[in-house]
Amino acid sequence: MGGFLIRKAGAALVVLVLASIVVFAGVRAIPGNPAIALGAENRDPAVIAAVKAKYDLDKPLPVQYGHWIWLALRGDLGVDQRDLAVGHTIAQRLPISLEIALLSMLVAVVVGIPAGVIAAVRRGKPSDYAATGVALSGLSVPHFWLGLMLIVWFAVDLHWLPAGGYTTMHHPLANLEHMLLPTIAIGTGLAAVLMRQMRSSMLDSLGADYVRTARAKGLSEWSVICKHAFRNSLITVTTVMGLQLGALISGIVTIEVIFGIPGFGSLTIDAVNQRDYTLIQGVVLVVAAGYVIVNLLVDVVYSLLNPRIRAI
Amino acid sequence: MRAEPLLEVNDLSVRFETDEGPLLAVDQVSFTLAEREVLGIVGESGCGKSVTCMSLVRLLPETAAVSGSVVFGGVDLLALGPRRLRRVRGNEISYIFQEPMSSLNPVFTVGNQIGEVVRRHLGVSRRDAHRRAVELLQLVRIPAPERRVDEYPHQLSGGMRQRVMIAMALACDPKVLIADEPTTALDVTIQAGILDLMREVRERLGTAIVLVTHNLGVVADVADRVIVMYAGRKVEEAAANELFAAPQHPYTVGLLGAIPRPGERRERLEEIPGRVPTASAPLARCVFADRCRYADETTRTQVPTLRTVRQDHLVACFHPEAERAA
Amino acid sequence: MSIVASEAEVAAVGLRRRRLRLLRKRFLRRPMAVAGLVVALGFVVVAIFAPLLAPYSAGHTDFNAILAHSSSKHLLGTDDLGHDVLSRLIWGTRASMQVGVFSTLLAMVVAVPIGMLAGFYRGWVDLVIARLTDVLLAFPFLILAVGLAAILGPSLLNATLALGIGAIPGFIRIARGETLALREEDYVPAAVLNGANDATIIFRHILPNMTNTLIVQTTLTIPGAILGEAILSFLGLGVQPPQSSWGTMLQGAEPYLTQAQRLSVYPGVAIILAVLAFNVFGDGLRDVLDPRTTR
Repeated sequence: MGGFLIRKAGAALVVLVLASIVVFAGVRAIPGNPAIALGAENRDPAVIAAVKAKYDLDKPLPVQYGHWIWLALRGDLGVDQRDLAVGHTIAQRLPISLEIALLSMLVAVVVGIPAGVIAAVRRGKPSDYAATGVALSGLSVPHFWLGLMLIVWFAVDLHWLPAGGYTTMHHPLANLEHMLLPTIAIGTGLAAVLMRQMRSSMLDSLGADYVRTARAKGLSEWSVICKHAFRNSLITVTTVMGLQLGALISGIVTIEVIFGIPGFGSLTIDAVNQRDYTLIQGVVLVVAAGYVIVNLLVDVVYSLLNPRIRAI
Repeated sequence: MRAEPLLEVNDLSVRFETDEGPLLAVDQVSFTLAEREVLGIVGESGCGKSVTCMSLVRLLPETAAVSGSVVFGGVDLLALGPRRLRRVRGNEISYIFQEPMSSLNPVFTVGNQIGEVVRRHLGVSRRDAHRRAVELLQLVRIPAPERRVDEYPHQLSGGMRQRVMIAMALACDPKVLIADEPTTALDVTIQAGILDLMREVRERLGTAIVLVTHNLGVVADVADRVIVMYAGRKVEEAAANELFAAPQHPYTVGLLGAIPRPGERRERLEEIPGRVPTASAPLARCVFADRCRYADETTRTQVPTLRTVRQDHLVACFHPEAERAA
Repeated sequence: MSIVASEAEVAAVGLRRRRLRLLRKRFLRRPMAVAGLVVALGFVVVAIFAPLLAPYSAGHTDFNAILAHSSSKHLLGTDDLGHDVLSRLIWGTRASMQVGVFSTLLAMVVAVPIGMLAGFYRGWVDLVIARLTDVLLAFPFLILAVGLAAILGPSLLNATLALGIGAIPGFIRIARGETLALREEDYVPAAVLNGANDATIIFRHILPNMTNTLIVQTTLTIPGAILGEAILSFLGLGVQPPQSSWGTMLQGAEPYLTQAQRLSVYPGVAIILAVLAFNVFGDGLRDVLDPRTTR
């Protein structure tokens, strides 16, 4: 297990550095004086001079990069247009988005995986067609459209749930009320992907030789499906889940905007709309870094599930 | 003279539904297996020997229609309900497959896979199952069994994996072991070891073995009796010595003639021209007629039935060796 | 010698024709896939012939009919600025299809050669490409769009670029995987023995054998791109109003969710249909081309 993970961690580190360079280059690519961009458009010469000094804008690029990354690692991502520390704002809003992310994934797993297993086992029968059909619809319905529709049906027409906003975890029930529609909107799409992948993977496993062996040993169908086939399918499904991160991120951003939730996602859109370059830079950096780290975690889980990798 | 047979297969036929129409893979095959007997089933690829064996314990996919009867312990396995069938599988009749790498589950340890058979059929605890797994690994002569038992299939060599499969098959002391081409995927040098093991299994444990192979050398080594199959039918049956000394069916003669023998001086190996036919319905003639040297009117219009030609030697042929003038 | 060669060629052509017939037969046995193809083609046709099909031009406004219900003049009604919804829908089809198809093609054209190089040469070439792909992956298409919008300002082109770049890692992975497998086929050393150089082997021998997989991957990437365009335009990162795309239509419809629900339904249904059609067609195509499926 050690070798595999060390190599993956090393690769992740390389990618982190490269990604940060890309962000750095991106900021420098913004047309105009970088000092103005980084100083949140403040044209006061004193401020511009201060920004120049802080980021060493007169020095060669590698030095600038060094400064910038050193500051970033210590949590200093600059100051945005409203003179608030970007790092602090992000730290405030990130947990909210994480909550949405986790709940959405929970929905996806609880619904998608059993559905996929059942569809594979009952392949060709009505329940398979039904489940596959539902999954296909889930895949095709854009989550933000679903979110809008959910608001209309459940919040506006039926008044069962709030149409948006957020309450902290200090009031768990109210918090869940606000989270329910958003997580369903995002989770449905994820569940559909998961279900199809699980079904396809299970069909492969169920057709494998070792399943034939398991049957030849006289094991119960339950054991054959849920122990032998499932355990193997879980491996491919984990990889797929990891690949869904991008979709999850886009889902969180749009849903937060639609439901007016003050999370990391809506922060991103606000930043773009306000052309707040410092904020944008901070957001992009955090997303890229987060993505790489989460992928590494997925690799860890994968190596735990797949013994063939562990030995390498 | 012969005791009650352990396994009695009567008129077994297997038909598959394929895209191109129905395919008759096995055509009315009958045979018996006595206790402690090693029965070899030989034939080239596609002759239906594997399908025959898989149908004995109903391991074929749903597209297969199986007819006939397979009587084991007084019960027809083909008519048995799924739950009772599962009690027979792995417990009284075990199966080993050709490809040990893909036939073992890569995500579970070898010990786990052996242990689950024991736990399933004998209801023992995990601890005891683990101990039994080590015992079995020792039985199949895997060195350092206490270490190997916790390893994964990919950590073992091909020969060892096949031994593990044999260990799994023997876990519940079955009466019958069906070995479907157990050595085909292995190196020649490893093959001998596996065959020795199978002989030992028969000697020490008294298990009857059905050995399926296309390799006549394997059969000569281990089998008591041999069945020769061609295009889904049984064409010859005799004791092993008898078959090799006096093969009757032109196909068997051809098979034996095609074996290169060291020390022999020959320009060309004899080959049997043509290919195994596939059919959707039983043919109204001898299946081998197209490739047979001795084909004539009779063989092209009538179906030969099995008859005794020499002592305890059955052939389905109109012109077996014994009846042809020199 | 020449007679033998032409016989083989004739046999090869006959084989190909037979194979195509068999594929068509298998495809026609899947009504869902056929339906998907028909609908997808329908969208493509609408996109191409939008100027001929749309009753009004994209920017045409009728200030006398704001948020109007459907009438003979405006079959689907009008939006909050007096645009004819049907026309916007048709013009939007063009924009959304454009982004969806071109971003996918961009990704394929860039990524497949890279993936093939990685799979063919392996070693450090593969390592470098793998790391670069990882870097690309670290920026989900939304974040890429955010970045591009910051630097270049949001536009349809930006959306296409962001989605295209976002789809590159997927194609690299497929091309690399296929190349890794196909380079082990026997005809590769045979070609080497016949004096073929690397480029010939890669493009004349390996590439044609992965077209099936590539076609399926393309067909299944397009719906994601269509969806992506809708998201980006909805958030203001892609197509900008007054230009019409399904995403901008939804963006415009959001404030009027309670008053004029239908304004969000029309573009939503269009998105769902298009995505569903491509997905179903792509699925069916994959099954048809997979030698392991029996029907």
